[in-house]
Amino acid sequence: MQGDRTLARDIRGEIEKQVGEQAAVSVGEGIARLSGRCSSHDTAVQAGFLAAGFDRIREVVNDLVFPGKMRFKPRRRISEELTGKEFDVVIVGGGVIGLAVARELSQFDLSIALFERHNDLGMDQTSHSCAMIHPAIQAEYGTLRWEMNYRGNAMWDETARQLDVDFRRVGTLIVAETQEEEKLLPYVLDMAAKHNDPEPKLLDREGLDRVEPGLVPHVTKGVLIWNTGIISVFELVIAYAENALSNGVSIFLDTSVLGIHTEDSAVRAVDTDRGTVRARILINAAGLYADRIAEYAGDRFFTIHPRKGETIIFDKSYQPVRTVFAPVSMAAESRESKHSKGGGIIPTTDGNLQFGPTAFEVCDREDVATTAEGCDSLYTRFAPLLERLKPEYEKPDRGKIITQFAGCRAATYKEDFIIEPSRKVRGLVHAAGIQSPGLASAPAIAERIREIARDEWLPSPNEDFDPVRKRQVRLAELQLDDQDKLIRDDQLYGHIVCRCEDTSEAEVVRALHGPLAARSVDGVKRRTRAGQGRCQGGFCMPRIVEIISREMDTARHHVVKSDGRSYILSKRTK
Amino acid sequence: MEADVAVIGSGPAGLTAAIHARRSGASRVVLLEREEELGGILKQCIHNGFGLEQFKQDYTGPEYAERLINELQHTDVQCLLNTLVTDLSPDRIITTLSPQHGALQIKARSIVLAMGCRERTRGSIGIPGTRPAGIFAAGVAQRFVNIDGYLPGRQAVILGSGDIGLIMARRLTLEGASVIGVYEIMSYPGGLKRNIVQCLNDFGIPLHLSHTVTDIRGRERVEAVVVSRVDDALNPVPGSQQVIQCDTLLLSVGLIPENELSRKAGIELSPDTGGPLTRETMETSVPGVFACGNVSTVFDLVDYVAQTGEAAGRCAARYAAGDLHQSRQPVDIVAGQNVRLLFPQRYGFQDDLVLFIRAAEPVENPVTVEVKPPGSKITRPYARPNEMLRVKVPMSKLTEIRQPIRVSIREK
Repeated sequence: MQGDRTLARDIRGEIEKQVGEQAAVSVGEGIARLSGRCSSHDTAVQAGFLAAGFDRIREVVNDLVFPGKMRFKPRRRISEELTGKEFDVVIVGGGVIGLAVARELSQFDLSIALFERHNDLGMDQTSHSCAMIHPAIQAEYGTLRWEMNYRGNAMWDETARQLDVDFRRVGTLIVAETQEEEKLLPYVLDMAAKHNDPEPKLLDREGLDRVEPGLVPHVTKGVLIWNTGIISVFELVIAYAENALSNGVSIFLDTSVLGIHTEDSAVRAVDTDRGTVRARILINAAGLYADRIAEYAGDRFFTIHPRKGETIIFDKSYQPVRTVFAPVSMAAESRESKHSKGGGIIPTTDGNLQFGPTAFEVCDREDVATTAEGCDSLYTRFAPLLERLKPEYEKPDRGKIITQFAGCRAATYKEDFIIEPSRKVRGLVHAAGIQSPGLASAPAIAERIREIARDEWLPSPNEDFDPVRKRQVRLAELQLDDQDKLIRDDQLYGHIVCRCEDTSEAEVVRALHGPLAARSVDGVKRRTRAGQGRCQGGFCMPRIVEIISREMDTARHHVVKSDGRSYILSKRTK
Repeated sequence: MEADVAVIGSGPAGLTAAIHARRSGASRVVLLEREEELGGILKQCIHNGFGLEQFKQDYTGPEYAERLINELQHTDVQCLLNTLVTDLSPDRIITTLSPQHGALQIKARSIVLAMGCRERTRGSIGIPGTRPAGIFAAGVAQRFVNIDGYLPGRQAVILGSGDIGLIMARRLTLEGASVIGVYEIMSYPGGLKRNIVQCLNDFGIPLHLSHTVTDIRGRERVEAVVVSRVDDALNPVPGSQQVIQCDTLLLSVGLIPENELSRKAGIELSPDTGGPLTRETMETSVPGVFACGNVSTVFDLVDYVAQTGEAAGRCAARYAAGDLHQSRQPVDIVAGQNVRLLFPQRYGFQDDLVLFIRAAEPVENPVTVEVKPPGSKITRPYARPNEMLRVKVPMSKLTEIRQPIRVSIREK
């Protein structure tokens, strides 16, 4: 088409003008495809954004090559154990989105399999998220991200209740420090209302004292966006998975998709490293590799560019805030950026304060290394602010940081979610480009996929569907009398393995059995909190290794920390 | 359950305190230990050098513990093993969890805190990089090797020259692993001189002062670390990075007194030591609660730990018997010139004062340590931050004191 060619030329010109790179550009069906060489990862990413900036461009495929570009290495086929199996639906990706979709689709009478490449669930974006249920104000109004965010946010009370997961609406509190800044608060209030955040409130000092006691006296006004929530994200992953399992879903860990077979432009089968399974519906919830899955199916129309976020976590003895807390000056600054970024001061359901996450474009989707710059930027941004605005609390102290972590967001160049049936391949449905606020949006995304499934395939309902899941008992959450009863029933509850989080041996043993058994020290940590406390496994790690070795009947030096060959010990001593 | 004296923790401090509480006349003494055996960290310290001063013997850690345990077993002190203390109230009610007793509360007339310390982690010193397997606090590696019988890795870099790190450098070498080097961010070593000689020099393991680890690489297991030189402000010097291939990083970067229970009881803590503010009787700011050993401040030698344990046990028994009278307001003991921290921090006119002092900066010439008032002075050939100084001032010299006691270290 003439229009496409003109548009391609315009994009090419814009890239040359803005970043000085000579990219080859083609446009078709609203998709811009960039190729050729450029000088750096940085300019390649900028070129992608420039192309996405054109209104008629729906998404961008960025094949620009730059020095240091990572080559994708698919896994090799290791077995045929799944070959011959047949499912109605295969979900690719066991993060919170894949799991929420699995649970949602189990309301239908469909056979469903979920494939996860890691040896545990929620290992990428989900567990690297800040465990926050965002208010919609942060998403760009009118985008699908915004729509899923505000719909999803409202669904969490019921979802968390059904799944028995810790969830609290702590609210985002945006405070003004000066009279100048106070003038901005009505604007914040309007923005929140416009974004469908329900009933944001303008608080006077009395109101502020109720939600965030101990603020410095000169802060007299603030806006509370009360629907911001925090959730126990590890528990949520297990909860979604347990509920999906009990409603008939099959979950396959350590299973990587290597290819997709189509016939007459319809999904027929999925190749994995453990064999080929037949399926007619494929849900692409593959997060950082969603573009790869789309490509396997012959529907390559977007590129994921990983954006790293680093977070620092403090010891529980430092809990200076109750809300997700920001001065209006900072809130305004992060609104100016279109992309997910910034970070904040965010409490967790377990009582550990977080600063983060940062936002840096990186070229490796597996880049989860923390950096000195990342940590410094978070600390120097947020610590002085807490010191200034909450002077009555203990001063922040780097010595109270118990850990730092990083993860990558699966952003597309349009920076919007892609939740739709494939326009090319029947049976393929994308839940792609899901980044922040993916966690907040998860129930809404799952619901949207259910609507698509209902309309496309007219499945009959699963009469036995039960949305309720009960969590297992946790010693640390009980009152003394109940702890006593529990230990008298099972002595293993009286044997405390993790002294920071009061995790009992019984809980560790439980985590190592059943269909969602932990297979690593980190897996136990995510399920039981053992090792998440201030000593970071200093006390419990040898004990956890011993229990894993006993319960899994394996040598201690075969016990892994997380995935693959992450052995903790090398051999027996002489 | 009720007790005259309840001791929390059965390492050298707790064992000694329990023995001396009983010996000083407390009739119902209870010793609480979260592990299944007594001895605390001594069990995994299979090297020698324990008890040189106290018993005039060169014991290993387990031998030293055994000697105390034998002494204890000749008394009627009740030991509750596998018993974790989860709460402590200011009115001295201890809440415990254990397989045999479930959730049990103990009301004690006096309490001795002897929970020891824990190791500083990677997170608290903020080493950036990946998070693979193969990063251990030195004491965790020590447990894996000496208790569990497993080697944590084959090529190790050790960050920090604390004593446990030095001991582990030798231990790993003896087990056939290669220890590439010990890197210390400060310009002087953290551990005892004897450990540097016996654990590093004797095995040809290099000690690199003013260096730190600035990156960790490897996805599943550690593949390399990056070390950098640091400047006087301890910041890495650009361009000094060096990549060292290894599969293990041990951290010996400091110990933190373990005072979560003390906080629950509302005990006042010292920002310098990280432990309770303590008097010469080892009593903390909460009446009837005493503290000793590494929960108070991290000591260099087990003999020092035992010495505080003895005082704590003795005074806890006196308190339980209603025999520890506080007739006068205690005076503060404050750090003067070149003193980083000191213990105890208050004098209550009940006993002789035994002061443990850590210098802020090394002085390699003879020094005078002055305690004023009353103006007692001792001289030492040098003062180094890695070797505590000890000064004893008899009670008879202190009775007239009204103002704070200042401790300082000066070059002679």
